Amino acid sequence: MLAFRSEGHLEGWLARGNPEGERMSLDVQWDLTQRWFAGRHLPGWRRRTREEVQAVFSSVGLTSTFWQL
Amino acid sequence: MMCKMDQVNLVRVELYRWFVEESRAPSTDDLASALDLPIPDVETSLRELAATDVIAFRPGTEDIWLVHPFCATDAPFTVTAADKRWDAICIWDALGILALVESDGEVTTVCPDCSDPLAIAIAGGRVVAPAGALVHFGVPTARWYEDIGYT
Repeated sequence: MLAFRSEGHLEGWLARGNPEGERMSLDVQWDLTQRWFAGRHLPGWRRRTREEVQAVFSSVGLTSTFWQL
Repeated sequence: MMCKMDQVNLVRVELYRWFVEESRAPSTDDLASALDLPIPDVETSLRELAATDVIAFRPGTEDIWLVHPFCATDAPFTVTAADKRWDAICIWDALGILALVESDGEVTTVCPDCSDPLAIAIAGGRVVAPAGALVHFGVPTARWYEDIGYT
């Protein structure tokens, strides 16, 4: 997951043959990141089930096939 | 007697404590000493954490590389907050460090297109970044752990 200065910079990078995947705003990335890593360092944390991971993605609107486990 | 999962959990929490407080990975000796565990038990726990993708070893070794979202080696994303500095392999993990330590801070990297510096801050719990900056995911979720260093 890389961060680009703008859509134009991403397009320039893709035009050089790099594979295209999915784009995301930094606001959505931050929202997803907080949900994903909350409490990961604490004793009560446990690994999410497949269904729970899918639910985290869905909670921030990531429902395309790209995000299907 | 401590069960295996309790021991794995203790090692996991201690790993994170080192990254959060010391900004670096502990050695196996550090973990064994801090937890009063035999080194082989620590090594077994680390292998279990790697097998379940909670951590990752540097390819071809059993050296701690990733304790998600932290990276134990120099990496393309630098995170600073509260007088501490960490490395991360991707923007998800870089922001993840700030989420995990629950702090405002700054992520610095370079734009892969132009190689100019790119700074993304979290201030007051919100993203502050150059207008139009965005994230690109190159690999579908189902294939992330084929090569966690490239997603």
